[in-house]
This record gives sequence, structure tokens and C-alpha cells, in this order.
Amino acid sequence: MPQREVDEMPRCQSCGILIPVQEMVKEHKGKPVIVCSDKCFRIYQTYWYPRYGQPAGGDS
Amino acid sequence: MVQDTSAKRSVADLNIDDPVQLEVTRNYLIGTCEEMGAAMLRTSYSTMFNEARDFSCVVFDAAGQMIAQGDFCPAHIGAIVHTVEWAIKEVGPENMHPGDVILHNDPYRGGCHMPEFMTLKPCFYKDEVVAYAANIAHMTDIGGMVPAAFGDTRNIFQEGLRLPPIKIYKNDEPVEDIFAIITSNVRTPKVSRGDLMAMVGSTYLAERRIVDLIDRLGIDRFDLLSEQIKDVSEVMMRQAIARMPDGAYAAEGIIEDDGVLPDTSYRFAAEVNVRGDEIVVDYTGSDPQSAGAINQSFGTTASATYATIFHMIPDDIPWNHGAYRPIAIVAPPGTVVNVNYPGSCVGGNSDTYPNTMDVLFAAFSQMSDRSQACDGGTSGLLGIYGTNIDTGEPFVLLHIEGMGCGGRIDADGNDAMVTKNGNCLNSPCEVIEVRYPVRIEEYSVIPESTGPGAHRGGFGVRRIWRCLAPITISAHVNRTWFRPWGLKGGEPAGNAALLFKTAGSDRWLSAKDLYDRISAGKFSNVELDEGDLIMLCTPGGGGYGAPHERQPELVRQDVADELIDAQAAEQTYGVVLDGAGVIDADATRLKREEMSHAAT
Repeated sequence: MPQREVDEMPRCQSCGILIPVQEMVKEHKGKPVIVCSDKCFRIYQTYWYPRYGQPAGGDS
Repeated sequence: MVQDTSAKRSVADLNIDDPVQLEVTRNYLIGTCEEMGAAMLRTSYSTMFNEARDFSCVVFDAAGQMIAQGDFCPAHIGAIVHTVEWAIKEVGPENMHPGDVILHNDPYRGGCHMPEFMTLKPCFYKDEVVAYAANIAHMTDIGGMVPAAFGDTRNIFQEGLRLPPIKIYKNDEPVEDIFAIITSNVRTPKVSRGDLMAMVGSTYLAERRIVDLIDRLGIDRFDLLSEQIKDVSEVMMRQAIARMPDGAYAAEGIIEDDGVLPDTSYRFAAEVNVRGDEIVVDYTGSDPQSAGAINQSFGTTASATYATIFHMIPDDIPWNHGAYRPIAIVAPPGTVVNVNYPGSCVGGNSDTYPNTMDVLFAAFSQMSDRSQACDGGTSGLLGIYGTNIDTGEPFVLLHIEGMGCGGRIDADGNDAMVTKNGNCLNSPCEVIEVRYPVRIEEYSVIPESTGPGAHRGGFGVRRIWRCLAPITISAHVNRTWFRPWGLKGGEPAGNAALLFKTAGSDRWLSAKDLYDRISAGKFSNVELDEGDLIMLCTPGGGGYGAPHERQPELVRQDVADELIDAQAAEQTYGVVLDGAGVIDADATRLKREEMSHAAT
């Protein structure tokens, strides 16, 4: 059972959990987003990014 | 509403073909979890297992989603959905075989904190994994620099032995090399092995029950019912959330210190965002992680979030994977709510968690009457290490103490109750005295600890221990100066205190003053001698509603029960009693008018 060390694991960019295996790399506005689940990608799109992800003035 | 992920608005839309069979199956699985718990209670060695009942048992389906849990410890039940999911993915179902049991206690991999060991058994039916049985349980000692783990640790390595998902059973046989590593690194190897075997045994019991069930239902029917169990909970949960008013509700609280940096407190911020039929709880704004053990792992923060939300909804919603689906969490890494490796986090699960729930309750109170005032908010953890006088064997006792709960709209707070996250039982004085070289000289409620209110907070407790032999004590206690707040005009409660009196002395002093520790509540490895005394006082709960609105008869009863005196009845609650303890109605009305006028 080869396992990554915890300092090698990515964080979900939505919820913040460490992802031991099988992270999802999605695309949002042309940029890759690492998430732990489809649910977190939806939250990233509908909550996290609109609130924290946009540069000043928005990028729409 | 942002998005309805269920696309099903009522349970009727689920087209359940046999609701009776569904309900019977659901309860059978919950019964299986309860039976696992009973087995652990009766076969374990430690006080934490067989008195405090600090464990939880669950059943997951083949997809790694929870379909049943018993009425156990909320601190585990939120994290276990993450630990089990990630353990299954890390090990890989294709690498699991009949007779395997997996062990895991890594807080960075979805776990709560390291003392919470998780055992996970893939349940096989005709050579296929059809379900998983799992439990999380609080191992009393896990090695490390502090007996029982709770103190002023500064990193994960000081806390004890960290185990990623590994097999401790193969082909129905213990992997003795793994057991040897564990028992060689703890202070009480016999107890640790005994408790571990109790955990493993309960998963075997669950596998038998699941196989029996599938024998009767068939695997296809079992799979369908598992899906329906989750879907019903999801629909009920979404309906409950949809009844809440949309909006953002923010609150914050503090943990007063971490035992490492002197006089430094840490802010916990939370915003509850209700969006149609889902909730996003956002902890952005919480302080960077501390140098000490107060940090929460993601799993702990998730547990606190789920547990609070489950308090805010009707209690007839079955708690399984479906109930968690409408809840999302944003926990910024590197903060007190989502610790980065190798930050210490052992205290986060037991002693910070109640604070996080209190913050969330304060947020929910802005839009719901189901919320409550602040709890005493500490587990009052004492880790005691020494040698048993009778057997000569080392012992480690982890003691958790009850505190007062916050008042709520329809009731006073509970007295002397272990924090909501623990839902643990208190350990009787007699059990402690029989097993360990101590004598309990006092165990009582503290009258002045309650937060006054129309519904007052529950009472904290005072317990005085006498050492009958030299021992080493460590502690993790909160709210020694930060008072549990009241709500809706209720008043704050009293604080915690942890004091010592050395043999021959007549002065009670804190560890800060007597043993030169940084914190009065969080420290490690203080050496005590025979005859020394320990006094732990826990906080009460905050009050709910203005005290002068409390029913006079309830105030009179509190006086009769010697929980408050006649002076407090008059000054705090505006209830005037005559010399015989009877309410003077006219004087009470006048006093309360005066108090009401002063309040406005």
C-alpha cells in the first residue's frame, strides 16, 4: 500500500481538506482547480470563487 | 436557492417501493451499530471505553458512504465519514481481502486527533466487499511525551504514534508486528491491546450481522435499500434547511490560550451561509494555527459543524451520509480550524471543539430559536500517570469532567454534563478509586457557576482528588478566564479552575503559580506526591433570556435546592422570598418592574 506523506498531499481548494489520494483536477475560468469531490467543485464555483477568488474589480 | 443537487423535493418523489422494509432495514443497521458498542463496552479494558463510552460505531455501504450510526460520540461521527472514505481510497478495495481489518489514527487524513483510533473492516459476501463496519475509539495512551496525550504539546511527534491506514488483521489473524509496534510505544500495553481487540471484535460482529441481512434480502435489494436510506435523509435534511431563512450569520469566540505562548488567545470565526436547501459554513477569518495543541484537524471542524447543524434541525432525520450532503465547509488550511502538518491538534478535538460549537450556536441564534447560550466549553481533561499500588503495573487515566450547558429557549442547561462533542458518561468516583491510587474527597455542583437567565445555564462541578501515591498529572482545560456567554439577555457563567494544594499546605494554587507553568489550564507532567490534592472546577453554562423573566417558582425551587441563595434570588432574579422561603408576590412584582425598567 504505497502512501504519500502528508506534506506531499494537496489541499482541496474549496473545503481545505488534505487529499491523500485521487484528487480531482477541474478547470474553472481556464485555470486548474484541485478539489476532493464534485460537491466541493460546485461549492468552489458557486461560493468560494465568487467570494474569494476574483481579483479586485472582478474578472468577468 | 443556488442549486438543488437532490432534484427531489419530497420523500414521496423517491418512489420508495416498500417503506416498511426500508425502515426495518435502517433500524436493523442502527441496531447493529448499537450492538457493536455493547460488545466494545463489555470487552474493553480502559475506563475511557467501558465507563466513559468514548467511542462510536458505524456501518458504511460498499461505496464508502455511511448508512447507519449508533447514538454515540458526535466528535467521531463527523470525522468518520472522511476517515473511512480516505482509508478505503488509500488502501484500495482491490487490496482488501476477507479477514482484513484496517487501523488508522492520522488526523491529517480526515481523523479527529491521534488518540482516536479507527478500525475498519471490509465486510465480504461471496468474495465481494458489500459494506464496511468501522469504529472510532479514544485510546487512553498513545505514547508521546504526555501520558494520555493532552498537555502542552507543540507538534504531532510529541503527541504520540501516528498511523496511516494499515492492516492490523489479515486472514482473520492479528498482524503481530503491528501490534508489537503499538504496544512497544505506549505506557499501558495490556490495556491498549485489550481495547484494540475490543474494537476489532465489534467489527467482526457487524460483519456477521450484515451477512445475515444480505442472506435474507439478497445483495441487490441490500444495495437498493442502502441508497434509499441515504436519499430519504438527504431529502429530509434539505427540507429542514430550506425552512431556515436564507442569509449569512456570523459569530466568533476565542480559546484563551494554548499552553505554549503565554497569555495569547486565538480567535475562531464562523459564518453560516444558508442558501436554499444547503448550508455552507465558512471559517475564514479564524486565526493562524497555534503553536500548541488547541488546533482542530479538518475532521474535528467537520464534526463540530455537522453536530451543531444536527442540533438545529428536527431530530427525526436519520443521521447518515445523506444528511451530510447538503452541508459544505470552508476551513482555510494553516488556521486553528484546519491544522497544517506537523502542527499539534490533540486538544482540538476534545477541548476546542465545544468552543467551535458554541460559536456556531451563536451564529444560528440570529435566525433560530433552537439555538442555545454558551456551554461551559471544556472537557476538563486530566491525564494521570502512575503505578498501581496493588499490582505494581503502570496506569494511565484520562479523566473527562462534566460542565454546565447553556440555557435554551425551553429549558435550563444540563448540569455536570460532558461536552456535547463527547456525549460521554462520567466515571463514577467508586470506579476511579478502585482502579487508581486516588481518593475523591468532593464531587459536587458549584452553585455560583451558573449563568443566570430566564432559563439559566447548567451547573459546573467541583471535584477534589487526593493522591494516595506519587503520580504525574497533565491537563487541558479551557475557560479559566474567558466566561461562557449568555444569550438573548442571559448572563455569562463562571469559569473553570484547576488548583493544587501540596501535602501540609493550606493554600490552593494554580500550576502557573505553584509549578511555574505557562498556563493554568494546559500543561504536562507535573509531579505530585502522596497526600497532594487536586481541585478541578468546571464552568457552568450561560443563561438564556433575562434573569428577571425566569418563572418565580423555578427561582424558589433553586433556593429550596440550595443551588442559589435568597439574596441571589432577589438581586439576580428579582424574586423576593419571605423567611419561610415563600414567594412574596407583591415585592417580587415591584422588584421585577424596577429591573425591567433598568434594563431598558
